[in-house]
Amino acid sequence: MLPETKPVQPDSSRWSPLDPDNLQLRSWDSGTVVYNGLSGDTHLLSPLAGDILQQLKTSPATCEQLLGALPDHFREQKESDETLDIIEIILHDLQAIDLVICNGRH
Amino acid sequence: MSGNALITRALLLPSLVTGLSVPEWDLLVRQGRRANLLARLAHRIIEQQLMDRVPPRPRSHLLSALRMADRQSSAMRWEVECILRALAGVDERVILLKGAAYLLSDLPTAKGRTFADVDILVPKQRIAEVESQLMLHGWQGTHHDDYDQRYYRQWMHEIPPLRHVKRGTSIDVHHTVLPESARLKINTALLFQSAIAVPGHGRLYVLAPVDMVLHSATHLFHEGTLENGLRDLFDLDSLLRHFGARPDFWKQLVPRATELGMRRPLYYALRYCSKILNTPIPVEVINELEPGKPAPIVSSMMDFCYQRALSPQHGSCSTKGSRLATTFLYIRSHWLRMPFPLLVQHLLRKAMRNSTARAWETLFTPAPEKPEP
Amino acid sequence: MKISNYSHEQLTRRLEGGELLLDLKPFVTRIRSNIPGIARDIALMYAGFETCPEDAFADFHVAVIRESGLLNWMKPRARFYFDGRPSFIPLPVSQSFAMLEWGLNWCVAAHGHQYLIIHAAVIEREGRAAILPGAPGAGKSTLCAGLINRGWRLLSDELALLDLDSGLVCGMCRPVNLKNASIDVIRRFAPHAVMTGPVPDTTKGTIALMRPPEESIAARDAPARPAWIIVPDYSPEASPELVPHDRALAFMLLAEQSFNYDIHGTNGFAAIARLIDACHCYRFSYSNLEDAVRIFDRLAGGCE
Repeated sequence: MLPETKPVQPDSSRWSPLDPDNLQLRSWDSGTVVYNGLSGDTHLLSPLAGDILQQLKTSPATCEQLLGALPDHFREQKESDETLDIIEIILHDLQAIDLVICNGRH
Repeated sequence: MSGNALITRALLLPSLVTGLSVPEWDLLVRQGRRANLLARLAHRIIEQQLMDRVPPRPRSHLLSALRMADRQSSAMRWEVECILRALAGVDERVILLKGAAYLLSDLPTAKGRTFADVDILVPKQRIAEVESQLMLHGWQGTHHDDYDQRYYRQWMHEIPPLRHVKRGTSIDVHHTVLPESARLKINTALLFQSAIAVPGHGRLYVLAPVDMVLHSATHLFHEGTLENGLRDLFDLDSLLRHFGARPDFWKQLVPRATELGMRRPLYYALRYCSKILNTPIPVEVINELEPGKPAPIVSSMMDFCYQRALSPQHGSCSTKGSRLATTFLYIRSHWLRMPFPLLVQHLLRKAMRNSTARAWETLFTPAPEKPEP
Repeated sequence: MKISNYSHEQLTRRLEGGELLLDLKPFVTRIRSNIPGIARDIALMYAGFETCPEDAFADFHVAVIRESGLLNWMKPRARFYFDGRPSFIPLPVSQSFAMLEWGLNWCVAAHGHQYLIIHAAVIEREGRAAILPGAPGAGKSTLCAGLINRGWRLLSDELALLDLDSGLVCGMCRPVNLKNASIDVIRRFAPHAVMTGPVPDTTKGTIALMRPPEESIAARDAPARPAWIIVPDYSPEASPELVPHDRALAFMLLAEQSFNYDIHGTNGFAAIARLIDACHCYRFSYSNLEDAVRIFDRLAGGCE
């Protein structure tokens, strides 16, 4: 059952997979492939997007929590805002392909 | 007699498959595939725990068919979710019809069934809004020919099918259950009033049990092409057996049919379900339908036609008169849908198109590089 | 009984009566046809195959029938039937054997869901199989046809049948499809190869079918363990090169090239993931077959 999506404010919203039990992931160095059992779609994700999804499958999180959980991807970035923006864009992309959902303000 | 087709007998009594010879298995798989009933048979065999008694080759076909049906069920569930999402802004209940309704209501009728398009029912005054919301969410019109557009909108009971650009799935949006131009006038408002909510699915509704049966009967006995005739008859049989166990079902059936204007299709539905599929029907119900039943000569003509047309569309089941039967039903069905002058015009146009395009026969052409399944 | 043991009359009669059951391991197909050319082409291309007894179970009933009627007297056409139902648009009678082949591919791809069916060539050497996914125009069939005439066993040139449980791959070892320029290339490369005459004006251009080598046909019952996934990339100027292929991309390519990946759902996903993990994945650029033979020989020898 799809809850209605609400407009999202950055930073304090919690993200989770649409249906974690129906999500299969497989990662290699070059990227992650994911099977969505609900829609029957298969997607190819960048390593970062794949790790974000894998992290959310373990437990729902906010953008900041994700940033904290994935330091390896952001070693070169200095500005925290920029990195949060990147994560948020990826989350919205994942939402557009029905992989994750935003659960409103945390 | 279609009741004797091997696929029909096997579905009514799955245990008979344990005694089949190899040529009989060969025939059964053929009939089952053509009738779109192979997955249903697979399901019945598994229910009776007989699958390991099926020889390996036929077994792989039964299981293949079941895999396809399972995949279609998942796809159908997702499709319904996408439709609900698209119509979130429309303040109206969405009523599912036919296969989608059986599936989302978890009816036994859905087990092993194949699914194609989604059919929904919305009030006529909402059609434009529903159509535009669907198109905003990726569905596109088909049937761009002006004539076809008119055929659907003016004379039929639906807008032309919409197809989703990304998923390639189709949705048929109905505003009543029979064409506006049909001779039989159905009281659609009553259907809307009695629709019941699908548990756990918010704004999703299906027809009340008696209405679901009546709709299935009306649909089957007004259909032009009977490609899935036997499958649809099995649907009816399943619905009658399932709902027939409810205390008030049989008492309500005929009065409701009278109220909705569906007595005649119900008569045929019960007649052929009991003749061909041995569906148990209480004697009182048969008696209730006596007044106004068709004249004997009409009955026997319809018997001739429907018993042939409701068999699997496979060479093994054609008998003398099969072709005649299906043509008569095709013309009768269009006669039921349309006044005569319109009928002639429509059939003429369809025939002209067929002879140039052969659209009805073509499944696909050998593609340049990759044969599409 | 082997097809080569039938006389032309016997074969023709069987086909007319719909009594020819061809064993295409792992499938059996019953074939009916009223077209004399079909009997000749089956005798040529399937000489090494066996038939099954008349009362055996057939996975598919197919027919290629010459159409009757005035229009067809002027321009003779044939139509393919599956389980009694006409499929495809009719084609010129001259293309009827090709239509039979395409039709059989379609039957397997549309109904053989005990396997995950990938549009790919599969060849084998010393127990290890190379899967060559079929991107259009990449030269998969030509490459396959060349290699099987130089020591590689053919499993299939079109349909890789992957067993989802064991991870083994098998194929029916049916005639290899060649088109246009490839026909002459292979004629020069393998002068002893048996081919049908060229059939012009098909949707793929001019085509011909090549009978697989006898050793391939004799061993067609044996599945193989996939060891390599090699994406061919033919271009006239290319120097031969075997380059590691991005695994995630290889996964997507195989999924896209699978006819029934969608039907297998989560099992299909897992099967392709296991296949990718089990294989070395390469992109192979080449411009001529001699180079290809050399590089594939090195591959089989364990140098890659």
